[in-house]
Parts: sequence; structure tokens; C-alpha cells
Amino acid sequence: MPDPPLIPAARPADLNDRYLLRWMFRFLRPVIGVAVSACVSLVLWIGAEILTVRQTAVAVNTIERVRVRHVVQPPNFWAWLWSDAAEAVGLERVVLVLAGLSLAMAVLTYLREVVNTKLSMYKVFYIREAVYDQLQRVGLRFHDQISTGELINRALSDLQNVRAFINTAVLTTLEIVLIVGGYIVLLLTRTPWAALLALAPLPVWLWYTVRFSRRIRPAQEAVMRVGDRNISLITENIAGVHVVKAFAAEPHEIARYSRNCDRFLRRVLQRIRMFANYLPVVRGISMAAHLALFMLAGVLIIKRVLQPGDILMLGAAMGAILGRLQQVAGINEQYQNAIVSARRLHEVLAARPTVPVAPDARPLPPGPGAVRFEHVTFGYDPARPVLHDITFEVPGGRTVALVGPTGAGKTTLVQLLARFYDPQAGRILVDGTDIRSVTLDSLRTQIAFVFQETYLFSDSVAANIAYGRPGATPADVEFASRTAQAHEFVAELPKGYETVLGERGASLSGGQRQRLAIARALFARPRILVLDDATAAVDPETEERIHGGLRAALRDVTVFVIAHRLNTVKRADLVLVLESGRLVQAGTHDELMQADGHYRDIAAVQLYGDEQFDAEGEFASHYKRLRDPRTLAAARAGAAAAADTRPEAQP
Amino acid sequence: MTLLARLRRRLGRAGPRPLGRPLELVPTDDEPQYRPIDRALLRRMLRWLRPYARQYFLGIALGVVMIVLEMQSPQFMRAIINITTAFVAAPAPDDPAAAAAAEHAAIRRVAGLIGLWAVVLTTAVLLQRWAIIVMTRAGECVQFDLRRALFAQLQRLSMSYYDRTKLGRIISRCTSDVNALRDINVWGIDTIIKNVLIMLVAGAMLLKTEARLFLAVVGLAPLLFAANVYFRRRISVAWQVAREGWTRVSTNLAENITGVRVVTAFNRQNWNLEVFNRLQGMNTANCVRAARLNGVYQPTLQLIGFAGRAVILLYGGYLATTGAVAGVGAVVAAFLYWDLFMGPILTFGNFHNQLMMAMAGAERVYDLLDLEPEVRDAPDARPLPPIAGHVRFEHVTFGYQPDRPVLHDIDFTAEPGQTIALVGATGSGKSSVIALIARFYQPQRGRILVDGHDIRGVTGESLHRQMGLVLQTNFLFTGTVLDNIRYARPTATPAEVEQAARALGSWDAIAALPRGLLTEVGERGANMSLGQRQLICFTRAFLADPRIFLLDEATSAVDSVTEQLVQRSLTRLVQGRTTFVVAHRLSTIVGADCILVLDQGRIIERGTHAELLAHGGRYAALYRRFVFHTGAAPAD
Repeated sequence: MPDPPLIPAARPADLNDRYLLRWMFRFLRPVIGVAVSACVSLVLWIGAEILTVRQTAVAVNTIERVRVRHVVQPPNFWAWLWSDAAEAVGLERVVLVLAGLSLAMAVLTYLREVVNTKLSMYKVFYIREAVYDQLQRVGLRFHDQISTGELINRALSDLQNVRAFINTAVLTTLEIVLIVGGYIVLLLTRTPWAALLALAPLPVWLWYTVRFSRRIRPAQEAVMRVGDRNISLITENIAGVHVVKAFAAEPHEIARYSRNCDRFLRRVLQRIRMFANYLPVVRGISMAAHLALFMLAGVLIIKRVLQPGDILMLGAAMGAILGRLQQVAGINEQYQNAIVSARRLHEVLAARPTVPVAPDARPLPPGPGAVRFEHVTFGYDPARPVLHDITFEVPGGRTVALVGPTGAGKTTLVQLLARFYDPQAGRILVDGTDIRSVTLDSLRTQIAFVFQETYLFSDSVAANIAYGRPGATPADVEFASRTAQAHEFVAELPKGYETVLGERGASLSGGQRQRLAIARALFARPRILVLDDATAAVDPETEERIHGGLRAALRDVTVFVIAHRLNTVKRADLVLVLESGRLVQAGTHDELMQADGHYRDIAAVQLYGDEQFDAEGEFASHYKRLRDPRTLAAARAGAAAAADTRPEAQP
Repeated sequence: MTLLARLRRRLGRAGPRPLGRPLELVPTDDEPQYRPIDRALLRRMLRWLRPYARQYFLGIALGVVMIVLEMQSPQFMRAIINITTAFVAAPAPDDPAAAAAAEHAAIRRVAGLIGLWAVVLTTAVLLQRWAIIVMTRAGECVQFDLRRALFAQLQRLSMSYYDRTKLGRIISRCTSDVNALRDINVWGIDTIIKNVLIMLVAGAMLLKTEARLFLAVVGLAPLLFAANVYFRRRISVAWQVAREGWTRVSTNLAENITGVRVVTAFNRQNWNLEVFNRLQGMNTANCVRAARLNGVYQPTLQLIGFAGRAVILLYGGYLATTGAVAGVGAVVAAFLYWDLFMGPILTFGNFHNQLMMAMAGAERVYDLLDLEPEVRDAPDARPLPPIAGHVRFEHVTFGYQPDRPVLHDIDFTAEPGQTIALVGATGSGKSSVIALIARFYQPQRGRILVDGHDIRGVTGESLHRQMGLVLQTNFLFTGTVLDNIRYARPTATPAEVEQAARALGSWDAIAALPRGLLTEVGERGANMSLGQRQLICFTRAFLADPRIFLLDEATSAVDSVTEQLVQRSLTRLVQGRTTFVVAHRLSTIVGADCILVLDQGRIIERGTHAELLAHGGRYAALYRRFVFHTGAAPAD
């Protein structure tokens, strides 16, 4: 059965820029009310600003008018201000209007600030919710294809790009149009010449700023590239610090990094030069535009067409117009970024679930937990199966041990049980029901996992244990914890079960973390329990006690255990030996030890076990931490995500 | 269309509201995100700027001239207004020709002023270009120095630093924190100086233009100051809260993507979404609260600004109408200076906030730079002379944390050329012995002697030059296979590398790579098989020709052909070198000259395989129990 493509084949016609643009604007729908009020407050604000500029000019004109008339010589300012001299009254009135406008602007500024933030945040709320939920449910094959760091990036920075662009596209565009239009109209009311002259530099200005933004882009990308290389060098250096130190290669490493720093500095300076060359030109254009307007104003005042205050108005108008037009280049750039980001976001949101649920799916009927694999063949890449024609049957309540070398397919096999992936051929039955015909919820609540790499969440110990059934009582939590031999060390933590774990909380040793993961699985009260190398980091003595506890707690539970220690394997009712994705031997430990074959060889090599247990406790040594190559990638992704912690709505 | 459906559904039902309850900030032991500026921090900053003091001073001088020139614009405006209004106010001559001549004269004067104005502004713009280049170049050079110093510091620091520091934090130091410093060194200093200069010069020009108007508005300055003090702290806290809330949103998201397997296995999707939306709602509330505060702060400043404008218009109007100042131009100029003075104040709040964030990063970088490595060469360290490879542990006790030893009183001697196998259960301290020989750590008690020299008294460089190391991870650097092999001897020619590989027996495997020695190794050597990577690591160690060779044997199995190749190469590699091996293969253990059996950090048995079997202790018991379970001898 060929797998359906994970991401719907995007026909170029479907995913063109225009489609993506429309797609992005759909995000506005749930917040259309806020968007409208944001636009209204923007319109009012711009109106108030233009009227303020006009009123200021009127004030100056008033002063000039009364100055020329020169009627009285009042004794002092206060007397003058409170007198009913016509000129004082006139100026007071003008300033009062100005005060009214300023107050209106103040209120509108407040409104804009709040409404814009709301628009931005509400909108992103719904998009992010959709992305989050999709990422949770899309299925693991999707996560295998796109790296964790990349997905985090999409959910954070790509989403920010799209959000910023939608805001810009709506509000900034409106602002530019209204400001430019409004001021041109204002100038027209004074003299058409000023309006014409103000329009003249705009094409040149627009052309030059857009051209510059296009030109500086490669320079910026070059800076980013070299900067990324710097980060790679550092990350790699940290990962290989043992090798660096052992071979006394520090000078060599420093020289290598310095060379790249040199390159970085050169790129940065190149960009600075470009900017330094751009600035005099745009400022030159702006200067010429302003001075030409002032010259015109001077002449027109002499010709008695304009009044002195108008010169202020002209200056303000020109400045506002050019300032807003400068943003066009930015919009263009944002648009380019947003389209790229939208495409990547679309890929996430449009991906089909990788394990589709049948429309007539029923809940999994109750049963003892019998599992049957029938000719199961599976490959992450369908062309390269990692499991070939696996067939076996386990009655409910038994323990099955899976053994075999690294890469034999043990972990893959147990993951198929919970439909993390669907096999390409064959089927899997739980208590006689094909797992593809039942709802995912009902299946997965019946199967609990303890994974090879323990993943705990940055939450309290109790919340981590109760992960599968939130809202349980502390007594339940403690019971599971005791069974997994975790209670003792948890009790010693600063806040016991309320201690917060993770990057920002207490750190535990590998063995302690595994015990919490076991408690978490037990707490879920599964019908089938999967222990994937679950006690590798626990010392053998504790392991014995854990298994003792498990035997008592799990009398009716079917257990799949992947283990390297012989003691664990020996206890199983059935041992399945996998090699290169094939089931090569099956039987009890004793049977298999009698038979010639892989099992006996494996048993021989197991003499001293894996070196995974970190005795250093809380201080897992750097080297041991780095044995899992994913650690570093995750740390890097985490650092990158944390780097972008500037609060979202900050200007 | 799933998205649209979801959005619609969201519209239709009373789902989570985007606006939740704001976060109450509780102090944590996290790294602080904000750092007020104090003298100590300033001193540390200035230390890095000092080498570029001349550039900075030149930049500041240019900035002063530029700003003074730019500040002449209101003066030109005043002159133009005064000329034109004087012309308009003057009674027109009766003679049309004289009137036209007077008009021309006035226009010419305006044109002359505009010309002069153009010259002044052009000069200012050119100075600005120069100032930008000088200042940003100086800032980027400081960044360059910092980056290199930081990297060099990371090379200096001991392994214990790497053990106790979370990986993400080390990476953050070199990325986001250094970038935060950039905010200070490159544009922060520039912005501060420029804004201060603008305010000073604008104030001075206002004073010069019309002292009475200056005195009339100067009373507003304390008000501005008070408003800034009042709001700045509150806004700072509000943004801090917003930042924290946002961190929680992004952390939750990153965590759930990383732990998607657990999420899926435990069916937590609905619950997680609820939690996430709660966090999102909180984030929204925080941001809206900060926006409210900012929405009060900005207009407050604007209204004070307006008060100044009103005073200037009213009082200036009075002065102009009574003839106390000549012409309305002075009023306009004063008005403009006031606006220029207010400009920096209006942007100050946001700037201050960013500066505090940058300072927090800056402090962390400086702290890292000031850290002293725990293992370093003694001041009187001598280079280690060429050695034979005699290694002696004298009552060595060591713990990664001093109060929790992982090795107790380890005492043994390895003769030159011997192979010592370290065996024992997981966590018994095998790797720690290797790490101590490599001088990654310093023992708390006892000493380690190489050819009679205490390794504490020799330079690390000379020690490591005579030492080779291959770890389980088989770490390879990005670059070619060739670069990796000659990592310890960058001057080796490809021919020498080939010769070494042939001597070791790894050449065929290397030549079989797509581009032979020039094959690129991907990040962490991902595109090579385990066996190939191991062979490259062996060749690297072989080329370095160490006297002491440390090996942490890989546990993972490789295919049998490669396995034979690895074994053969290993046999040749250890020949004639003192070798310490954390053994995972029976063949390695059985072939060793001496086996040290470790248990919980102590040597409990030692001797050759035969001796230990004859001795009948723990080693013999383990060996019999597992290997002779069926009576079959292991195939070694």
C-alpha cells in the first residue's frame, strides 16, 4: 500500500504568492472587529494630527496679523492675556483649539496603542493555537521529516513574520495612504503649487529607497550566513571540547574562529559602508525637497499668497510624507519575508495527519491486552523497510522482551503498537481488534510508554507523574512514584512533589529521570506497558527493586520490554530476538540459551553492560551529555528560541 | 481547509478567550533579564571601548559639529520668515518699478538664505556619513574583540565548566548575549550621545534665540523628568512581565514539539492545548497591560510637549505683538527648538528598556570572560620532555563535585607500552580515570605522574601533544576527512596522511569514501557509518603518534567486516603505546596486559585475564556466570 504523501503535493499554481497572500489575510477573520476599530482610531488620529499641523500654522499667522496691526501696548503678559484685547482673544481661541486637538491626540494615541496591541495579539492567538494543535496531532512521521529546531522556528519566527506583515499590510499601508493623501489635500487648500512641488520628489525617493533595500539584502544575508557559521563553529567546538583539549588544538581552533570573525567583520563593515553611502543620498533628496518648498513658500509669502505660518505647515507636511514613504521599502521587505514564512507555515497547517482515523472508528473494546502482529512490514521510508514480515502473538498479561543490536528495529516495533506509525503491510491486533479501526484516543490511553530518552516537562514532579491523567490525587501520584522507586529521592527534593523540573528547575540524574518516567507510565494505568530501555541509567540494585514493584503492580498488564541487561530479559515470558528488522528467534531465555544463535552471542557481549548510567548525579558530565547527538541540536534550538524573547507586542 | 474550519469553529463557540489574566511576576533564580546600569558595569564596558577611544572621540566630535549645523535650520526659517513678513508689512512703494525691484530684492535675499542653508545641511549630511562610519566601525571592532575573547576564553575553561553549565546557556552566551552587547557597543552609545547632544544643543539654541521663551518653558523640564521617572520603572516592569510571559509561551511550545512522542503516547493534546491557550491568554493580557501603560506614558509626554508649545505661542505671541522680539520668526524658531528638544525624550522610554535588556546580556558575557579556569598551567609549569609512557596514579581521589568522590584512592602503575583495560559496572568510574589522565580534571587528593613528572607541573600543551584520545562519540569536525585526520598535526601533507592510514590499515576504508580524503564530513559526521568514523578517529590518533593512548571503546555494534578492520587497526594503533581502554569488548579485555576491575570508584581486582580467572574473584564470577552459562567459550 503506497503511503499518501505527507504534505499535499503543492501544485505551483496552488501555492503561488497570491494564494499565500489571500491565505494570510484569512487570519484576520476572527479578529475583524478589532481590526476595524484599529483602522478607525488610526483614521481619527491622522485627522487630528493634520489638523494640529494646520492649527499651528494658524496660530503663527494670527500672531503675525496682530503684530502687524500693533494696536495696544499692554503693561505685561498676564494683563495682556486676560484683557479683552481682540488680538489676545484671537490667539487664545486658536491655542484653545490646539489644546483640544492635543487632548484628542492623547486619547487617540492611547486607543491606538491598546487596540493595535489587541489586534496583533488576538490574531496571533488563533494562528498559534492552530499551529500548536496541528503540530500535536499531525503525527510523528511529520516530526521525523522536519527537525525539531526547524519546527520551533516555524511556530515562532515564521509566525511572527506573518503576523508582522498582516499588521503592516493593513495598518501601515492605510497610514501611508492617509498621511500622504491628507497632507497633499492640506497643501492644496493653501496653494496647488506647494502640493505639486511636494509630489515631485516622491518617485525618486520611492525608487531610491526601494532600490537600496533590494541592494542591501544580499549584504545582510551575507552577514547572516557568516554569523551562522560562527555559531556552528562554536557549537561544534563545544561538542568536541574533549577532542580539542586532548589534542592540544586550542590555538588551531582559535585561529579558525578568528578567521571567520575577520570575515564577519569585513561583511559587517561592507554593510555599514552601503548604509553610509545610502544615507547622504536620501537625506540629500529630502533636503532638496524641503528647501525647494521653503523657497516657494518664501516667494509666495512675498507675493502675498501664503502667510508665514504656512512655512511651518509645508515643512511638517514634507517631513511626514517622506518619512512615511520611506516605510514602503520596509513593507516590501516584510512582504518578501512573510511570503517565505507563509509558505512554510502553510506546509505545517496543511499537512494531513499521518495516521488517519477511520470515519467509523469505535473505541477499543476492553480486553486482557493480547497483542498480535500479522506479517507486519514497515519502513520510515517505505522504500527501505526496517521491519520485515513480523508475526507473533502475545496473550494478555504476559511480559515480552525484545533484544537485538542497535538498529535492529526494536523501538520501531513497539511504536507501531500505539500507531505512532502505520505499517505498510500486515496488521496489528489488540485483543482481536485491528488497531486501525479504533479511535486513537482509546488506543493510546491503553498503552503507556517509557521511552529510551526520558523526556520530562518543565513542570512539577507531581504534574509530570500525573501526565497521562491530569487532575489525580496526591496519593495516586505517590503510589506510582513508590512503585517506580522514585519516592525516596523525590521526598528529598527541595519542595518534594511540587519541585519544578527542567531547564528552569531542578536537574535530576539520568536514573532519577528514568524512574519518574516509569512512574508516569504506571500512573496512566495502561493495558499494555512499553519499557524501551527504561532502566538503562538506573543502577542494577534499584533496577531489581523497580522490577519487583512492577511485577506486583502490573499483574494483568501486557509488558513489552526492550533491555540490555540479561537479568531483565531472563524474567520475560517470551523473548523476541530481532536482527536487521527480522524476527530471528523467539522463545524463553532458557530455550534460547540452549539453541545456537544470536541470542547466545548477544548474551556474551552483555558482560559489562552499557555505559549509560551517570554516577555523577546532578552533574551529568559534559561528555556523557553529548553522547546523544540530539542533545546539542536541541540545546542550540533552545538557545535560539530563547534568544527571541523580546515581548511580542514591543514596538 | 482545516485551518479555516478551525478558525470558524473558534468564532462559533465560546472557546478560550484570547485575553487572559496577566502574569504576576515572582522572583526566580533564573538569569536576570534586566540590569540597571551602574558604575561597575560601566567600567567593565569602557575597558573594551578604550582601544578605540580615538575613534569614539572623533565620532563624538563629528556628531557635535553635525548637530550644531543641523540645529541652524530654525534660524534659517526665522530669517526667511522675518525677511518675507517685513517685506509684506512694509508699505509698498507707489512706483510699480520700485515695487518690483523691492520684491526682487526680497526674493533674492530668500534665495541667498536657501543657498546658504543648503551648504550648511550638505556639510552636516557629509559629516554624518563620516560619523556613522567612524562610530559603527569602532563598535563593530569592539564586538570583534569581544567575540574572539569569548571564544578564546571557552578554549581556556576547564571541563568542569562544561559539566556544570547547561549547553543552551553556553550557546546563548555566544549568540544572543553577544548580540545584546552589540546593541550597546554599536548603536547604544551612538544613540545616547546623539540624543544628549540634541537636547543640549536644542536647549542652548532656544536660549540663544530668545532667552525669555527659554525661561518660560524651562519650568516644564522637571515635570518631564518626573513623568519619566514615574513611568520608566513601571513600564520597565511591565515589559519584563511581558517578556517572561512570552518566554513561557515559547518554552511551552518548544517543549511540546520536542516531546511530541510523549504527548502522543499519553494522549495529552486537548489538555496541552488548554494549558497553552492559558499561557497565550496571559501573554496577551501582559502585552495589553504594557500597552495601556505605554498608552498613558506617551500621551503624558506629548501633553507636556504641548504645554511648551502653547506657552511659546502665547507668550511668544505677546512678545511679538508688543515688538519685544523682532518678527514672528523668532517665535517659530523657538517653537521648532522646543520640538527638537522633546524628540529624544519621547523615544527614551523604549530605548531605556532595550538598554537594560542589553545590559543583562552584557553582564553575563563579562562574567564569563572573568571566569578563571580550574585546571590551568601552574605559573612555573615546564614543558613535558619526550616521554616513554610510564603512568602512575598515586592514591588519587576525585569527584566531579568535591564532596561526592567517584574515585577513591586509586593507585596503580602502567609500564610503557602496556595496555590497561578498565572494566566494571556502569558508573564505577572507568571514564573518570581516563579523564584524569587527560588532565581534564584535577584530582582532589593524590597525584598522577607521567614518566615521573607530576602532570600538574607541566604545560597542558606539551602533555596533550604526547597523548591521543578516541571517545565513544567518535567526534569529527565539519570539514574534510583530511582535515580531521591531521587535526593534531595541521602541517601533515596528504601523502603523509595516506602513509599513516596505510600503516594503520584504514586506508582502504577511507579511499572507499565518495571523495576519499576530501570527503566532506557533515555536522557531527552524520553522513558516515559508525565504523568509518571510528577508523578516521583512529587514524587521527595514529598520525598524532602519541605515547599515551586513551580509548573509550564504542558499545554499538558494527557489521562484522568493519568490526574486523577496526580490531586490526586498533591492534596496530596500541602497539608500543601505553594504552588505557574503557573496554566493552571481551577480546580487548582478554588481550590486555593488565585489567583493573573497578567497583564504585575503587579498584577491587587487578591482573591479567588468566590471573583474575585463577584468582576466582568478582571478575571470574561474572565471566563464568555470563559467558560459560551454556558451557560455550566466547568467540574471541
